[in-house]
Amino acid sequence: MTDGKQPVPRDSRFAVWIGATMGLFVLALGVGFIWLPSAQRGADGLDLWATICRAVGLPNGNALVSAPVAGQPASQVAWTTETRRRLAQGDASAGAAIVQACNNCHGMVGISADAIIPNLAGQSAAAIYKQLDDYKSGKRDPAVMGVYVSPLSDKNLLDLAAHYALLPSPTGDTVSTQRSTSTVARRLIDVGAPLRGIAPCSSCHGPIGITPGAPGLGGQQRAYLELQMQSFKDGTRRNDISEQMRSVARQLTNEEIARLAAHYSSISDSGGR
Amino acid sequence: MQGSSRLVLAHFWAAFATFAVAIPLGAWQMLVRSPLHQWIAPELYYRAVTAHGTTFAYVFPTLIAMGFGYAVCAVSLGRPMRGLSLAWISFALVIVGAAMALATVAAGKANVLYTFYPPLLGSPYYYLGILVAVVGSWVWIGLMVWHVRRWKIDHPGLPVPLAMFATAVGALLWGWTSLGVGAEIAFLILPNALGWTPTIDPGLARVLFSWTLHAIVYFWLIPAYIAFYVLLPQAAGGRLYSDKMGRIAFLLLLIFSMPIGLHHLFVDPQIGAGFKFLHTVFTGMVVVPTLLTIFTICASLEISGRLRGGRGPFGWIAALPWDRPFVLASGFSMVMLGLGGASGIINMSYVLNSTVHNTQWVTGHFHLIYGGAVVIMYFAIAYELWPRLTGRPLAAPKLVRLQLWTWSVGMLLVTLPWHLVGVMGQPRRMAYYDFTNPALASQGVWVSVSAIGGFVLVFSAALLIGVLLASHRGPAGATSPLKFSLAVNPPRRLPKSLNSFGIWALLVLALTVANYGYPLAQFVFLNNSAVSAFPVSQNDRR
Repeated sequence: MTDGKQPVPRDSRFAVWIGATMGLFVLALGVGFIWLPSAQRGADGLDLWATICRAVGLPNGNALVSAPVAGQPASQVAWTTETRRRLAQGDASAGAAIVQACNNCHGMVGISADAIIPNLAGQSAAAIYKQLDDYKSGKRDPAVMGVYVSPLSDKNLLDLAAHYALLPSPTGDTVSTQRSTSTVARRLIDVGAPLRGIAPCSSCHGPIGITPGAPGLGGQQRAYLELQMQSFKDGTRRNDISEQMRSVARQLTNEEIARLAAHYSSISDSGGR
Repeated sequence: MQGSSRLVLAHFWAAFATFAVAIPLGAWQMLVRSPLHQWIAPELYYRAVTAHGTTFAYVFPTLIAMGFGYAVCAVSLGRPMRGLSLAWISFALVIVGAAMALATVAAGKANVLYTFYPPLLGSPYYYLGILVAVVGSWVWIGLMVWHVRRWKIDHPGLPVPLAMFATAVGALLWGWTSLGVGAEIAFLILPNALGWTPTIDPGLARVLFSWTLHAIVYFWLIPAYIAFYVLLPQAAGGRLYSDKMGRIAFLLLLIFSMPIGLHHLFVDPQIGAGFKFLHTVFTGMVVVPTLLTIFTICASLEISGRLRGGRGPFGWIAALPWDRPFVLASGFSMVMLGLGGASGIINMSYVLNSTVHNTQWVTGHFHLIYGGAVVIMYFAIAYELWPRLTGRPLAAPKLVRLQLWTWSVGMLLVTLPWHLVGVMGQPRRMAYYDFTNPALASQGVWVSVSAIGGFVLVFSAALLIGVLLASHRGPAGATSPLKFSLAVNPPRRLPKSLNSFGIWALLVLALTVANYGYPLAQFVFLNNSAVSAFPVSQNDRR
């Protein structure tokens, strides 16, 4: 037993096991890629190749065929790899050179003096770029902003976005009277209102999570926030992709909108920079 | 233990230290989303879930498998381990990586859950920590395989002891399967988290994660199966029914637990239905080694029961020494394995899966089979090893039995209601449920029962730590050396197929290429499947 010199006999188990595994594999291929897809509904008239393509996940035999889309998109901006790459190429110093026209209303450091005009300092480049592009394409009401953005090139918009993203964000006006509004607002922000289909604000605007292009809200102007939520609610603003904001705002009461605006304007941007 | 006692003890204590933190977190999570508590900010909930999942997926079982692997290596091969310094480096890497990942989670910078499915994106330190821990465990894989090779060279033609054979299978399985998550972190997530790539491909990331996600469960399971085969028959006072059956079961686990991960992606639109079917068929094959194991272990226990005077078709069960912790734990484990295995077969069935997908049923399933059937065997292994590692007898055997009872009852209280509310439609991974909604109100009572079960588990975990601490600090006493069960017919010589890994490893490689090749390769020519990341709890608002 311990001499270790006995030759190890040929072992037929390898052939049996590997053969059985391969047989199982071939059987599963036949059932999964030929029989089942040809037996499914809608398989009439498919030839063998089309059947296999269907099981592989290429129903048209071609991965590059895109599905037709009906209707107009809410925005021309899509968060593709290409958009991301261009956003990263935004040049803040070039943006600083063309920002003068913006300063009159949005303030020298991106913090406006008028409660109806949004602060832009420290806002995400993606959010600013999307809004600028939406003004330019008319997806967001261009009544005021259209005059300013129409002469700008796409490169200008990217540079402006990069410029504002670099400015220090507002810290919010921490007037103590506004703290009392926070219970209703905090609940909507943290947990939403599931029975009314309202997702928590913080799941897109931070800090729980940040969806692409969702602006930071902390320290934003109170009247501006309130007006935007009302505009989403009554449908006068429609540039939110997949109606994300409209479907939430429609469910909010005027009281809740006022409290949310008051709350967000009183805090610093916890989700953003 | 051939000079490896400190090493093994360090692994077990580190594992139980993380366990002691992560268990109360789990109970707290169940409480705060039950009707017994007010809703809390979800951020805190997901932070706790991420810490709990990260600990129990990557840290706790890895340390137990490594520690037990070193013990088996030293005892079964009957000679001191070589490369102890490498083993300590490996241990340090796992600890450093785990500390890095868990500190990032504790700071609230990586609420991405342990599955961290992109486009969710947390701090790069979290992913880096996981990667360091995984790479640390690769050193252990190398050591295990190297020791088997050395032993075989020194003992040509002799059977590798079953315990060591199975440990090497577990190591190889972990090595091959951890490549999926390693590649996902190194090539997809970290470049995006560091801002080097503009977007991330969630489909590709999920396929890579599925590469790891199923076989990792078998990596957790293998120490428990080893304990069934090599410790339980002896603890029950009998012999192992068949040594060869054990080898076949472990080899089948190695071959079939890897090319099946796409059953986690049944609802993913990017995977063709044909591949989902292929993976379902191979998932069905994983049931075979588990059934072989249940058969062999029951047969071994029957031998013990009849030797102890048990009569009749079931009398031998009553005759088993249920007062011995190892036997008691194994009994509980078998019950939970049976229930969890049944729910697993439901999960792998495409049509039934669509009913339970992403519900609490799934959470119930993996807590029952892992937290119940597997972890209770980790306790049993610790109780078995402790006197041998510390040179002190186990303190308070009554408390040990109470601990095993409370763990089993607690785990059933936690998981059976989860299965039920899952079938009622309760989604998993939710920070709160609105039980004032009439459609959900009937689930409230079951969620409360399950939350109470969570605190039974906390009590049981405290007992475990207490017993292990008391035994470690107790008076020194005579302890018998660790021995592994003898088979009824111990193999004198084995065919090459049951005593080697090379060809089986090649078969695993071939099956992986066959089952994963196209689902991975398709992402090269699928256009526009990459999306922007979804940063969570980050300051980086890109």
